[in-house]
Order: sequence, then C-alpha cells, then structure tokens
Amino acid sequence: MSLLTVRGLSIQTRTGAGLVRDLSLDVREGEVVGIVGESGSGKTMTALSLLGLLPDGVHVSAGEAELSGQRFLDGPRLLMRPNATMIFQNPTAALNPTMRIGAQLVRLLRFLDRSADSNGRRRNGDRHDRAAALLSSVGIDDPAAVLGRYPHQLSGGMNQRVMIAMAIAARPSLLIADEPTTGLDVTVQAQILGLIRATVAEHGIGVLFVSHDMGVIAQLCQRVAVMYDGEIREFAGVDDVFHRPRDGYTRELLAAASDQPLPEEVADGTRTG
Amino acid sequence: MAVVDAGADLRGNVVSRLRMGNPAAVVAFAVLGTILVLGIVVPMVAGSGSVAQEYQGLLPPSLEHPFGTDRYGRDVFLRCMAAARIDIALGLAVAIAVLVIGSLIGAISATFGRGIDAVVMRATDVLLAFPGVVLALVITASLGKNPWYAAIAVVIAFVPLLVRLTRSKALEVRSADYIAAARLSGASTWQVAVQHVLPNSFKYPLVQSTLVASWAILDFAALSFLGVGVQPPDAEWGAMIAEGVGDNLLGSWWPSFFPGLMILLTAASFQVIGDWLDRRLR
Amino acid sequence: MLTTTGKRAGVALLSILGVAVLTFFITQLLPGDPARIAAGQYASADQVAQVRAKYGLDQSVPVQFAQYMADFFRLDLGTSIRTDQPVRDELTSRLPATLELGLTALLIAVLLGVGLGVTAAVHRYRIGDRLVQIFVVLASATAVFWIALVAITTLVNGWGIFNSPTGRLPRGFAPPDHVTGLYVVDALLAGDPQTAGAALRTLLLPALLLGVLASPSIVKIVRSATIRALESDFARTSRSFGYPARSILVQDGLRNSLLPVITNVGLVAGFVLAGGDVIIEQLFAWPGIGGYAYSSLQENDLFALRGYVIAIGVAYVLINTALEFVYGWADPRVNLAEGS
Repeated sequence: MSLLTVRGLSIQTRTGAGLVRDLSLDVREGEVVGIVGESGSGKTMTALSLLGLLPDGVHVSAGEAELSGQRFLDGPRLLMRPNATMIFQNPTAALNPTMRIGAQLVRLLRFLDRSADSNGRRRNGDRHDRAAALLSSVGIDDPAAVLGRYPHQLSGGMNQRVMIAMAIAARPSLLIADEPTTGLDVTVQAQILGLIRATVAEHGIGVLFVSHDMGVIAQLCQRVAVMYDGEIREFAGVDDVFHRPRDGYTRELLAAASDQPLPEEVADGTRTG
Repeated sequence: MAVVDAGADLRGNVVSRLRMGNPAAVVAFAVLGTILVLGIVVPMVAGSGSVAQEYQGLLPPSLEHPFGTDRYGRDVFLRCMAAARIDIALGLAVAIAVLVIGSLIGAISATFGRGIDAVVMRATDVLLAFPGVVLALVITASLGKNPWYAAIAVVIAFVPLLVRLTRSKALEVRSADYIAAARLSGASTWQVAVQHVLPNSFKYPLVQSTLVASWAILDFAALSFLGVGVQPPDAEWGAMIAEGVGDNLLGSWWPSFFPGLMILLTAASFQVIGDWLDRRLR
Repeated sequence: MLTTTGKRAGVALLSILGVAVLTFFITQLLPGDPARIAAGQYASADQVAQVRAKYGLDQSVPVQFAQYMADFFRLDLGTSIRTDQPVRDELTSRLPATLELGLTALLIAVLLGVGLGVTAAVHRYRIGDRLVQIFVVLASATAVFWIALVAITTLVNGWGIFNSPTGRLPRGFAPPDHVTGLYVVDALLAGDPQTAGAALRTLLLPALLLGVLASPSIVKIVRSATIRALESDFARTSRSFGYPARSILVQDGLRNSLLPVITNVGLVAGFVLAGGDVIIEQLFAWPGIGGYAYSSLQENDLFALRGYVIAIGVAYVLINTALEFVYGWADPRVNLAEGS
C-alpha cells in the first residue's frame, strides 16, 4: 500500500536552471525510504519541496505528489498541507533561539489543538504536562529540566530528540528527515537512528530519509533512491543497491563509502557510464 | 553539474540585485555631479559675488531667479551653488581626514596591541560617550566660531567610529596566516601595520567614510545653523537656512527651502553611493 | 555574572570620569573671555577682574581643574554667568520638558522603525521594501532644522494642523500642577483633558519630527534582523508545521529582531535628547535643556554650556550602560549574541 507517491517532480531556479528533473518515487506505510547522493544532487530540495519549504528563488516547475491517496502537490501549487512533518540537519538552529523548549512545544500543541478542534480549548498547564510526556517518549530522562532550557543550552543530539518529539506530536503519516544525524557524534547518531526506527515501529508511519551517508542508509532503510545531478539513478531495495548495484554512479558511491575503489571503475576512468 | 548550476543561480541573484541597486547609484552620481558642476560653473559665469545685494528683496522663484531672492536682494540660486562647493568639498575633506586618521589609529592600535590599544580604546570610549553633534558643538564653541574649527570638530566627532571599525577589522586580518608569514620573514611591527594590516582592513572603513561624508555635511550645516560654523554673509546651506528663518515665518519660504533641499539631495546621494559601494565590495 | 556586572559598572565609571576631564580640557580652550562677558560690555577693567576672581578664573589651570573635579564629585555643575543661577538647578528644572519631548520622540522612532523595518522584511526585495529603503535614505539625509521650518510653514502656518511653536502649551492655557513634570500626564492626573489635549497637540509636531528623523537606523537594523530571522532554520521549522504567517512573523521574526534594537536605542536617544533636540527646542521655543544649551551657546556662557555637556555625557553613558544590562537580560544567548 503506497503512502507517498511522487511523479515527475522537477525543481527549477528563477533563472531556469534545473535542480531536480523528473523525479518519481514512493514510500509505503511503515517503510523507511532513503534518498542518497552527494551535496548538490537535489535530494534536500526534493525533501523541502514536499512541504512547500523551498527557499526564495527556487520552485517546483512540474510534477505531482499524493499522500494517502490525496493529491497535495500539483506542479508549482501546493494544494494543501500534507499530513507530514520534517526534521532537519543542524537541530540547534532549527529551534527558535529566544524561546525555551517548553514554550516551543506548548506553541506547537496549542496550534495543533486549534486546528484539530476549533472550539476545544485546553489549558496551558495541561499542555505543559503533555509537552513533558512527549519529551519522555523520545527518551529524554529529565523532561522538566529540558523544558526550561533554551536550545543553545542543550546538545545537538538533545535538540534533535526535541525536534523528533515535535514532529511526532503532530501525528503525521509521513516523516521527512533531512540529514538528521549529520554533525552529531557517532554514539548520538546511533541513538537518533534507533529513535527513528522505534517511531516507525510504534506509529506505523512512513519515513523519507535524506542522507549522504551510505552507512546510515544501509542501517535504516528498506529501499533507497540514489540521486546524482538532480536525477534518480537507481531506486531499489537496499540489498539490491548495496550488493547488486546496476548504476555506475551507485558503485562509485559505495566504493567511496567503503574507501576501496572498485578496480574496474578506476581502470575505466568513466564516472557516469 | 548541479553544483555548477546552483553557483550560477547564486551569481544570477547577485547580478540581479546589483542591477536593482544600480539605477539608484546612477541617479546619485548624476545628482552629485550636477550639483558639483553647477557649484563650479554658476559662480564663475554669474559675474558677481554670492554676497552681492543687487536685486529687489524677497522675489519669489521665477525664470530669472529660479530659487528667488532673499531679504537682502541676493540670488538664492547663486548662493546655493556657491555654497555647494564649500559643503561638498567639506564633506569629502572631512570624510578623507576621518578615514585616514581613523584607520591609521585603528590599524596601529590593533597591530601593537597592549598598552597603546588600551589607551586608544579608553580614549574612543570617552569620545563616544557624547552624542556626535554635541561633541562637535562644544569643541567649536570652545575653539571659536569659525568654519575651520567646525570642520575640525566634525572630524574629531567621527574619528572614534572609524578607529573602532578599522581596529575590529584589523584584528581579524592580524590573525590571518599571511601576517604571521610576514612577521616570520622579519618585517617590523610598523611594516606589518602599514604594508599588510592597513590595506587589508581598508574596505569597510572606505564604505563607512562615504556615509561619514553624508553625516558630515548634515552636522556641519547644523553647526553653521547654530551660528558656530560659517558666518553670515558667507554662503553655506546651514547658515543660509538660519538667515532664512525670519523670512520663513513672514511667509517667504524660498530663502530657507532651497538650501535645505540641496542638503537633502547631496547627503542622500552620498548615502546611496555608500550603500552601493557596500554591496559592490562585499 | 557578577564579574561582568562589576566590569560594566567600572567601565561606566571610567567613562563618566573621562567625560568630566575631557569636557574641562575642551572648554578650557575657549578663546572668549567669560569674565568680560559676564561683567557686561561696558564694565571697567576693575569690574572684570572682580568677576574673574568671583568665578575663580584668575587661578592657575591646575587649581581650576582641581576645583572643577571637586565640584563635579559634589554634583555641582558650576554657576551660569548669564543668569547667576546654579547650572544644575537650571538644568533640573528644564529637564521634564526635554524628557516629555524626547521620550515621545523615542517612542515614535521605535514604533515607526520597527513597523517599517518589519514591513520591509516581509516584502523583502519587492516594491514595499524599495519604498521603505527610499524613506530611510531621505530621512537620514534630511536636516532637522530645515524640515522643522518646512513643517512649521506648511502644517502650522499653512494648514493649521498643529499648534504654533510657542512652547509647551498654546496661549491661554495654564500649566497643570507639577506632579511628574510631563504636561500631558500631569493634566490628565489633574482631571483636565482639555489642557492635556492642547499639550499633546503642541508636543506632537516637534516629537514627530525628531522621531521620524531618528528612525532610519532602527528601520535598517530591524529589516536586516527580521529578514535573517524569517530566512532562518527555525522559521523554516515553523513553516514545516504550518503555523500561520502571523505567528511566524511575531514569534520567530519580531522576537529575534527586537534584540538588536535595544543596543541601537542608545544612539537614537543621543539624537532625540541632545543632538536634534537642541535645534528643535530652539525652533519650537520648547523650554527644555536643549534650548538652554542654545541660549548659553549664543551668549558664550562657558559654565552653562559646560554643565549641559557634562550632564548629556553622563546621561548618555548611563543610558548605554543600562541598555547593556537590558540586552544581557533580554537575550538568553548573551555570549553567543556577539557572533550572530
């Protein structure tokens, strides 16, 4: 059962340069799909476009996307907000530096309450408790203390947990993760990946996981799309991509990841095949 | 390819921004150039001095007297143009003086550090403890009511700003690798300061000094308006406005209106050019 | 925290001392003879000598300096030559008028600056932004004494929108009982809305002029800070949750762009309480300390002008120190703020 379907997505700059060309992929319920590629390959733009978060001067020029059978993206128009949330690279910058964590969570909960039920008003004290519960659910031991802190007083890993807690709070059917572990310590990275895996298992949501790191992709994803220069070069199960790569660029990427160049590639000298 | 494309897009953005900024800069240069040329040509061809009282008093603007005449029967247009030379030259002179003195002190302070730096910083602290115009006002009042003293006072009021700016930029430069290389190759501290630190930390002070020219024109005119700068009957925009206050209250707006308009056009042009330089050099 | 507080207080004290010393050395250069002016144009050499002795001007410079510093520590700003009154008392009695004008102007400058800065940021690189930029250039290139004259000609004499520039109240109104010294507030406290309205209408034009001309630096700083905030990662996070634009503008934009305004307020206060204030008070016959400085300047009243400059310098140091504390208290990132 397909949860997210993207067909023919193209992203352009104002000057007409193509950043992503004719991209199609899908995510099933309870599945983690990776997008892997080097920086500038268009993977982050793809992720941002699904939530209408493209930066100034960049826009979707063609393509469409559906979530749970509902069309939400039609070319340059975002028809509706998909029931999806996103976590980002550099979690500390992704949180408002002048608001305590508690205030940011309460702000989200108030917003969610209002959009879910226009006349149901809940008290702020109640939201504070729910915020604490949310933090516990992402493995934060001392929620009360964290709620009173500002983002710059917390570690990157802790802030990413907070972001995940916020992303889950909205009860999305799809979670988009853009390099969520890049820049974190290896041990913290493993914890965050574990948390994402647990979240998928618990809530049965789909995840679109963007990364440049083949190792992370291999640990987490069921299927993976390999992107290069704005195009998907290969989209298949993780086992196939890792053990029977069909594309020359995929092989090169795998070689770079394992730091062992494949002999025939070096001899051949051609990169893109 | 994608990387190259993204780069091209960025460059496209910068180019379009520059294109957006350009018309304003062109207009600013044109306005400033026109005023400057008229300031040189008009008094030369007018045949009479800017203080000559040869017409009927308080004639409103007309073809013969585009800016009208003042209470003493002097042509306001001629006086405005005669004043342009003084005001623009003064704005530029102050800006250059501030730039040279300020960046020199700033670079020396940053290069030598320690004692000299501490003294310079405390001195700028104290000078910056006064609002600029008040400092210039009390200096001029103490030195004597004279345009030269007013100009010196304006320079003193703005130097601390440039010292601070150059110093902070120079400190960034000082820690750069090529300075260490110069030191290792045996250059003296003075040589390092003059040959390396100063030129490389010059960019921001240069932009800033364009803005200083704009502020200096405003402050100098204010000092003249308050009676401590250029003295009547000499033509200077601020002094002309002060002379026109009485006419203005009696219903003749032109003797004070046009000098103020000249200040506005000139100061605005310097501001726009400063913004444009800022974007160009960044 | 304690050490930073102590350090800031120490720097402030040093600066205040510096203000006193510098003011003495600047005014000591005054070539005019204050004793001759005080004694009057037709006074005999004997009378001049008497005055000179009276003000201690016959002493050597070091002795004068020692006396001056001793007075300074006793908060004695000397005696006006023109009026023979203590300068401190004259300034104190005129301070409320300047505060009423200056604080109103400051309020206008901040409201206008934040409003226009945010507008420009929301419409960034588009027509609304361009218009605000044009306002910024024009307002920062306008001479306050000129625009005040133009405003008096048109708005007061031409169209009669504002009251005549004849002080704090139009003719026929008696000042309200002194409570705060701010006429509008005092009149309201006294239950006299008519006088309050008249005072406000008289106050509005000079305050608007000062406020509008002081606003460009705030516009610039709010615009760039708001753009930075709206294009930040955390604003993107907010958009990813679908928060309304208004919430993003206030919570993510404004919240982060108001901090730099605090540091800028010091500079603006320098203009509305001192620089522009001297000119505006003179043109509007406003009985504050700026007008006092103007009269002292015209009559070469060395001691009065010196007292005014010291008072302004000290006030400026205190305002900026206070703002530093406010900034440290308002910004949770105190240490990170420098870099951003």
